[in-house]
Amino acid sequence: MSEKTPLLELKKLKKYFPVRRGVSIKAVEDVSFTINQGEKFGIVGESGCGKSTLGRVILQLYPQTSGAAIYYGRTLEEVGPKYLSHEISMLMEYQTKADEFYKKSLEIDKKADAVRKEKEALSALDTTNREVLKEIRLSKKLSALEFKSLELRKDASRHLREGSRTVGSLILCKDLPKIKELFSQSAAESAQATSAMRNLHTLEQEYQQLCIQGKKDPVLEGKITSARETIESHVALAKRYRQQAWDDYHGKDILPLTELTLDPEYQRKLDGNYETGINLGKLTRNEMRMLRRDMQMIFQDPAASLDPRQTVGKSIEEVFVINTDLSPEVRKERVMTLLEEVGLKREHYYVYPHTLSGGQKQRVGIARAIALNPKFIVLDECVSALDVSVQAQILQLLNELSSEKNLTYFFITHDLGVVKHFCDRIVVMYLGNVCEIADSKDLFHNPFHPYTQSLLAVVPRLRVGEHSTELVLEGDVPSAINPPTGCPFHTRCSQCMDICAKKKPKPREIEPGHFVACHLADKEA
Amino acid sequence: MAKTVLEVRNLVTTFRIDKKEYEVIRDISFDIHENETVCMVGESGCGKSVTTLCIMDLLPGNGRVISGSIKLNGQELTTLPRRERSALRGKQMGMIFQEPMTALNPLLTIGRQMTEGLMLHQGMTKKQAYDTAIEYLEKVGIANPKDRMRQFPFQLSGGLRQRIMIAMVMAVQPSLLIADEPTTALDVTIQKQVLVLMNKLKTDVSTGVLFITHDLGVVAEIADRVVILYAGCKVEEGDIAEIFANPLHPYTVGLMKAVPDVDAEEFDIQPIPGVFPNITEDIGGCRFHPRCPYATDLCRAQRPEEIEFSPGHTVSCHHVKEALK
Ligand SMILES: Nc1ncnc2c1ncn2[C@@H]1O[C@H](COP(=O)(O)OP(=O)(O)OP(=O)(O)O)[C@@H](O)[C@H]1O
Ligand SMILES: Nc1ncnc2c1ncn2[C@@H]1O[C@H](COP(=O)(O)OP(=O)(O)OP(=O)(O)O)[C@@H](O)[C@H]1O
Ligand code: SF4
Ligand SMILES: [Mg+2]
Ligand SMILES: [Mg+2]
Repeated sequence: MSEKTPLLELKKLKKYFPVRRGVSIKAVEDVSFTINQGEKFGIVGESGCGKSTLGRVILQLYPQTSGAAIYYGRTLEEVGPKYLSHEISMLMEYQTKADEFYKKSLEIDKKADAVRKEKEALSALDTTNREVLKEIRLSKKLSALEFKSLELRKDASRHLREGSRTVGSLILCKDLPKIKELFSQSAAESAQATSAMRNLHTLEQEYQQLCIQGKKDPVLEGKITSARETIESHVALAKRYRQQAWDDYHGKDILPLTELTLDPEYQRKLDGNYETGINLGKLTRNEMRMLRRDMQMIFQDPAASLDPRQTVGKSIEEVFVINTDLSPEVRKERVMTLLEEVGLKREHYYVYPHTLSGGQKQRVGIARAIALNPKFIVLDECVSALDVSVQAQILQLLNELSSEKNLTYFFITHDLGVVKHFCDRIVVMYLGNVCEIADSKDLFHNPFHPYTQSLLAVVPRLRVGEHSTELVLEGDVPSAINPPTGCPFHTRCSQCMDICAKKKPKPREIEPGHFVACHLADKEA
Repeated sequence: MAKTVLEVRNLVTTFRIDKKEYEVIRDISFDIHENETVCMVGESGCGKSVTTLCIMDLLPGNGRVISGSIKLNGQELTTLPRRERSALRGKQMGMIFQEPMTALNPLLTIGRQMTEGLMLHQGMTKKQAYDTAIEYLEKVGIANPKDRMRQFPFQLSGGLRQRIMIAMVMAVQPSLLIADEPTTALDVTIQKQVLVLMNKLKTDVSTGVLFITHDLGVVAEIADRVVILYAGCKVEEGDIAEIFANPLHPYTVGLMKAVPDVDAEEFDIQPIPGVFPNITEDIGGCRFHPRCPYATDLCRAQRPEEIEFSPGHTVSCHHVKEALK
């Protein structure tokens, strides 16, 4: 666990559900955090705080309103996403537009200066000679100009930011055309790697088919090896071109596009925007369908996703029918193995869902989810409807699967006991906002956010006679259509201060890896 | 000794499925006293809800009480004519469900529903009923009761609805309150409000409460005594402190180990192996034996008798001593 590789990074992810014109449910608000590979990442919070919505937005089952979910489970080369070549083709435009906007803002600044001088001259006159009306007019004009200039500068930096997602601070370089060339070559290699990958996939399926029949085919094996080599060489080339652009041009011949561009701090910021992962929201439908194998979901009510007229075996097999071209025999064998993996018996292939208990149905749900060897699974209250003893069985199974298959979980629950012992890291949400993120142990030992503290205070304890009779939290959760100003929790917070209603607290790292969005944390710092 | 409100003795209930009778409640006995909350705990399908339906006389058409006795304040219910029995509901026995919407009429205002119940069961005048309704809404912590009286159930949040349901049932001052998973659908924050409230009202009104839940944390918070059911049988009963400190039945022990404890530093997930039996399954001897780590031939052959381990703490298991180790 010391080596942490990110698998998913959420950047200011936002999801609004429009209700009618100008009115929307603010279900997820600027959520940012990183989920690492192999991690069991838990999310808790009251009903309606946006847990399920966030899970669905990550999987792109709902489009996000803004922000990004970046996936690192595959490389850009493997997926060769279309949006990338589009972004590369836009690079020059981003740079020239930024330049134009900035130049325009400078012109406007000049005009503003003239107006300012005129106005100053006027105010220098004594009161009897002053033309009050003219002065007012000038003031208005001046502030309009200043506003316009600011907007133009924002436009300029927005364009640079967009470009930096693809090339980092290289967007500022004079040699951008050459950089663009190298990135295009890299993207072309990626595209070839992707198609070689598809080819390999087909070959491997053929191979599996033969294996089941107990046959061998040296020619096919040779093809597979050479397909692997082709992929590797394309991937290596793609990386090399990008590395070359980086080595040759990074930090060199930077254009004074705006007043900030020469500032090393700003350049670092642009480098930070550089996306090495895959921006899920920008994938085409087809590309996302490919990635959907990597990212699965398990629901609270397994029965709802099982067709009552279909045997258990068939409904698991369906996953292979839709997503692969495996032959019927291979599919069936795979299902049998899966059934055993999730603690069911081979005989269960032939039974109908209604004969299964709740826990067994959930095992079928798990079998379906892991069928395509995913990397990441969203588990939405998947043990909440089960009895404790069955819940423990399913948690144990999920634990085993995660270590055997190096799965990463996004575990949605409202049960704090479960999340504490099942998850490595936990995020606490309230009204669509992140309150606190910490390692499980930390969160329970050292809850900082007043909301986390009140949640922990009301959990029913397994200790007799240790229950406080104080109602720690009064009232209901406010509406997500009109969330409170400032800190969303301030209307129910026992430690609310003046600033809480005015300003929204930003997440602050109070200890390594422990983030809190609360003004109390700012005060302590 | 507090007055006994409910006395259930040797209750046996069956359900007819495909023209065959299956025992769902197998010889269950327990008491509830005034001012006492008895929690009934057990896995889904073990018969908790069916027990409450027997008491309320609300069994579905294919269910039947075969034998045993149910006494409310000393009065035998099983032999009482239907009409007299249903008169007791809402007057001497109140019930709260998991989803309050099922018990509230969506077309009537909260005020109308509350006052009608009071006028019918308590013979109050309209004015008295209105005042009592307001009084109880205030008791359950509802801020502006007069406005709430004019609202319809769908205009209220789940937590509010459940609190109103409690106010409605308690205003009648029943001697027995049955609550079937009243907080399962609620957030922990709202659950806490409801639990604190039920504890307070229980003493205010001197009611005996039968509280059904599968959350052992909730049990620890609200119960005075616990009855543990497994597949239609009572396997253990005792004082709350005693059950948590000294669980005897292997099933109770297994349950306790299966719950992830928020306060524990470490927690080793230890599920009870096997699956919960279907009612159609015929399991001889102790119903728990297929899943029990201590099961012997004796367990497979013979149903264990109830033993009184210490005063008030009873258990039905052949191998109580082993489970203790
Ligand atoms: N498809 C949808 N259309 C409109 N609003 C939605 C939709 N899905 C969720 N919402 C709203 O978004 C908010 C967050 O809902 P979400 O289902 O994510 O909450 P949750 O944290 O999963 O709650 P629960 O614990 O009850 O499952 C809620 O206000 C909900 O009403
Ligand atoms: N109408 C019915 N017809 C046939 N069987 C029934 C009927 N109602 C309940 N049962 C059976 O009776 C048994 C006990 O059910 P009951 O509803 O009392 O369970 P419970 O303990 O309340 O479970 P839960 O925690 O899921 O509410 C179950 O096995 C159930 O399948
Ligand atoms: S920011 Fe203020 S209102 Fe919000 S949780 Fe912290 S103290 Fe409470
Ligand atoms: Mg949800
Ligand atoms: Mg029930």
